[in-house]
Amino acid sequence: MTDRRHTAETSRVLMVLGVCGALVFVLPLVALVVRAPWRSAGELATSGPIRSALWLSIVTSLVATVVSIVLGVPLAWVLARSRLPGRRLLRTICTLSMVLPPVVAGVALFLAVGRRGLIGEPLDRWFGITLPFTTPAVVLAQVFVAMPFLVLTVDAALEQLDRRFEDAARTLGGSEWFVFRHVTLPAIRPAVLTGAVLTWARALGEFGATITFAGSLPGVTRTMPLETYLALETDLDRAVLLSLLLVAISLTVLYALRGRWVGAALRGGGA
Amino acid sequence: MSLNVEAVIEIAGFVVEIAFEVERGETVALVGPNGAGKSTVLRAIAGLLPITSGHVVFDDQTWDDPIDDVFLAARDRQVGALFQSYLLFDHLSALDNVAFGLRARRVDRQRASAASKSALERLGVGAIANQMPAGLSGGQAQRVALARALVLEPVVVLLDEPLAALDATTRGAVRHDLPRWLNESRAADGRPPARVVVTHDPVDAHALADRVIVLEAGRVTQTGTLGDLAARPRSTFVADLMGTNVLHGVLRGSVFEVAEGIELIVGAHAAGDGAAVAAIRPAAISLHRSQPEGSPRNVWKTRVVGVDRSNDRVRVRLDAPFSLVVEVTEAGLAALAVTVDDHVWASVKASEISVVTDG
Repeated sequence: MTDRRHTAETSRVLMVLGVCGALVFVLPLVALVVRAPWRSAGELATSGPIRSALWLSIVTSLVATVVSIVLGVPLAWVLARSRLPGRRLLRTICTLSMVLPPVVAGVALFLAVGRRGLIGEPLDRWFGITLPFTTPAVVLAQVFVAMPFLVLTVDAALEQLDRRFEDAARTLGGSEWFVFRHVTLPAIRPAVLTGAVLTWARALGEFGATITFAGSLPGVTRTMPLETYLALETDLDRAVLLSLLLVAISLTVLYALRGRWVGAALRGGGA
Repeated sequence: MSLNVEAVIEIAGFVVEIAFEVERGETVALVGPNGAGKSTVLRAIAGLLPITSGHVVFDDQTWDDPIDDVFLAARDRQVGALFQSYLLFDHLSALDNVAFGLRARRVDRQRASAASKSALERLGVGAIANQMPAGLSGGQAQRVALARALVLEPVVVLLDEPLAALDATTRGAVRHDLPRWLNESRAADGRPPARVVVTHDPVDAHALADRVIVLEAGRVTQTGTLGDLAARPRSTFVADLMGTNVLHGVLRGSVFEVAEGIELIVGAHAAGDGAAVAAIRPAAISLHRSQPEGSPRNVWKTRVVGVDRSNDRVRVRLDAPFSLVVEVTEAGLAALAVTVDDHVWASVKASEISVVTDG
């Protein structure tokens, strides 16, 4: 009896705390929905600035995701499989931007590829390429802060992968590239997809590094989060509507993928 | 025309030292306890693990020789491997699994499919070509994995515990079929491949192999036919494997001293001196309730520590002054009326003890 009452009390405490935890996420969303200017929503959403910001956000976040896959999967492979000295330090550095204040990321990017930057100066002098305050700069900022999500997910999946399958493929005559392409990659596909979705979601919401490194030029670098922040100072209705739009996009994608790649890979690291 | 391995392989502080040769068309069994290094040897032959010194040579082609700095990658060795857990690729159908190696060697899709289909048919599993590995039984998965290795017409076939993962019924069938499949397989030059099979089961070794190499703790402790092993086991492992008692001791003339003051008279055939190993078949030992009268000279008092039954045979385990296994019939045990912890007298004829001096 005592035992069972004790269990009941414990679970009640957990329940109350758990619900409080959920409220942290639910309440702000509810507030957004309640406060939304539903009557003028259609008119506002189709206004020029919002449309161009939305378009810019979607395009840059998707490009950033593709870049992250193309570079991030090989990077994860290097971290998980190569015998590169200083691999652990490299892993830490490659995932640092997940915990770095985005504004710091922006400053660092500026010092690297800004017009006077480490690489930016020769780029500018020899090829006439200047990155800051361009759309590619937005993509670069997004890749910088979002790619770690893909790298970490894929790295974990590669670590867990049973390497004997790759050995079997080698005895069957597969070159290293053939084995990677036809055995390794199919096995880590769920992790790559999960990582890509997380990367995309993070890229879509990128703000600090973007405004520092790429500025806020309408139609060029002013993505949805920047537009939202600016609207907050002038037009609360627009800010609320923009926020809701971002919430809706992210929520739809994450909810549609729940329990499929995202859940599976986050729980088990992949295959 | 053969596979020649003479290698020292060091991996994470563990050293395996082995030398053997396998002719084309011959099957050699690598037998040993867990962790003896059997799979390590297979991996070295397959090219998945470089050897530390020595060489792996097939015919006049060197596959691995650290001194000459030669290491042929796995994909260039024409080795077909059947792994213990089959390692079928989950995302490919049975047919595509078999076609994998052909596709890796740039055989076009149609020819690869046709060759794979007939490889599956030869092993009696043509009907499951389009199934995914997850839906296959253990026996089917094994045949697919074997077809996948054999379709490439390898010159060396490696089998890692090919029967261990199968259920009892399938196991019997495969034990019967596998030698035939292996005998029918041909390398690209039309000649049969050399075969190495790892197993821990003497029955499997008997069914599959012509010769046995015993590997214990990274060292070869005995080689020969199964008959040789049963007659003259050189280690406790081989004796257990073959069901024979092995005693380590010292031989002086025809007296074998097992332990302090415990001596067995052995047959005249074994005269010699020095450290020796004596083997006694479990069925050659008699048990008595009281000290036997008359002829047997090798009589000692001991104690029953276990009684194990399998089929219609009963194996009685004895300890002090030395451990032995005695095989009796159920009726014999009933007549004896002994149980665990009882004291009994054991006897064995001198002619039933075979002795080999070490070295």
